[in-house]
Amino acid sequence: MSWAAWWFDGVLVGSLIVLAWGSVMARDPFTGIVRYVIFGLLAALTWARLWAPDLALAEAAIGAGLTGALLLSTLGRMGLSRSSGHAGEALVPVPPRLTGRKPLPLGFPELVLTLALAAGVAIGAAVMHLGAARSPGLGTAVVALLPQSGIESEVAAVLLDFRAYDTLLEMAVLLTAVLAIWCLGVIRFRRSPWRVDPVLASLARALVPFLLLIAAWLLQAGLHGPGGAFQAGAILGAAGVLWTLADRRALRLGERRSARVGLVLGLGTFAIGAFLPTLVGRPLLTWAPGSAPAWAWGIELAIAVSVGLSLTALFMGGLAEVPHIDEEEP
Amino acid sequence: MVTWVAAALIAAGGAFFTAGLVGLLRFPDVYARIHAVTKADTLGLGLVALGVALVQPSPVHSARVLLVWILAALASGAAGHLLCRAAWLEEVEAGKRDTS
Repeated sequence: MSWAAWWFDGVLVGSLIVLAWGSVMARDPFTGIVRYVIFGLLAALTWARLWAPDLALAEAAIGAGLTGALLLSTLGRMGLSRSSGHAGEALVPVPPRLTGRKPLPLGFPELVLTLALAAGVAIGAAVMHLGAARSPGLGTAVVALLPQSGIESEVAAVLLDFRAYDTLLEMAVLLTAVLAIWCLGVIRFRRSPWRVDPVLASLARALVPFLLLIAAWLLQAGLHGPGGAFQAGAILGAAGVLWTLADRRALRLGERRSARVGLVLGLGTFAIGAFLPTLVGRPLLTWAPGSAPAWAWGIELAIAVSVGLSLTALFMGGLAEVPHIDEEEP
Repeated sequence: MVTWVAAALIAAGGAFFTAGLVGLLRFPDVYARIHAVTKADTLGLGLVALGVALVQPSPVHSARVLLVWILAALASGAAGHLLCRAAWLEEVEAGKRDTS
């Protein structure tokens, strides 16, 4: 590996450590969230450097994008946004050690940065050393079993065949989370939710079709290589968030029967596919020989739709109590 | 030859990124900083994208890179506007160095 790559990786890992520390120790929540989002972006870059494009995509879309949006919307609802000047008085308890701390001695941040960079280079070197030992992990086992599954992509084969049980339960967790949030109450708005900036609305109109296209592409790509249902679902979720921000009619999503069907589609399809074999006396979650790719395709599509809708619903943070459009303010 | 032109474009893009960064750190108020970042970075990304597009193996790849720039430019312009609007609605005054 060239010196430039070493340098880049060292800075990357060092920045990750500094950002992780800064995100947890930030005095006001807004700063912490912003640092967390940057941390997510750099983590995605790290996965890309480790030749794990699937993880890089998921981290960028969910870790940096949607989690950041969720945290910021939560912060906004807590009335804690920094610009309103209430950052200190708090629903979030700030440890007294942090609020009353003395200014750091000169050179302290530089020292932390240097130590973090050194730690980053050391960890990088250790990982490279491990890599040199050529630990095969489960990769070779998966590749060996791939023909038995019939699914082309290793990642898709693992998620939907070899460990389908985990994926099934992950879908159940996601659905449960949405239902739990819906049980907690309705969203209320301080200001009229109908005032949407026209620039934002235009941006949403321009970007949402692209996001849908990218999601569809990722979905079909997932059967052959990097991509797949969760990445496509995350992009759909991003489209949903943008739509929610730009067109407040989206807040009525939870009332729509089609949306509710879409929310359970992933878990439903998966569960039906999982239990069908038991009717003919085969164990749970065993696809009939040769049918795995077809199931994988159907379930991936269903999961993508459900993940996208779930993430949108999570961002909304509840069933909305919005006035009807005819009650709109002039 | 094409490689050199591409390298020059990418370097120029990097210079604009650096200028945007300096603006973000040094400009006095939130409006000026947003102005610096959105304008300089969009142009910087455009130059880098143009440089990268020149050395792609096929026109399809080049078109993809340029599409990334167009989408980023749209998003950056709109984000800059929304941030400024939010600051304006919160009555942040121009010309004063804020604490953030």
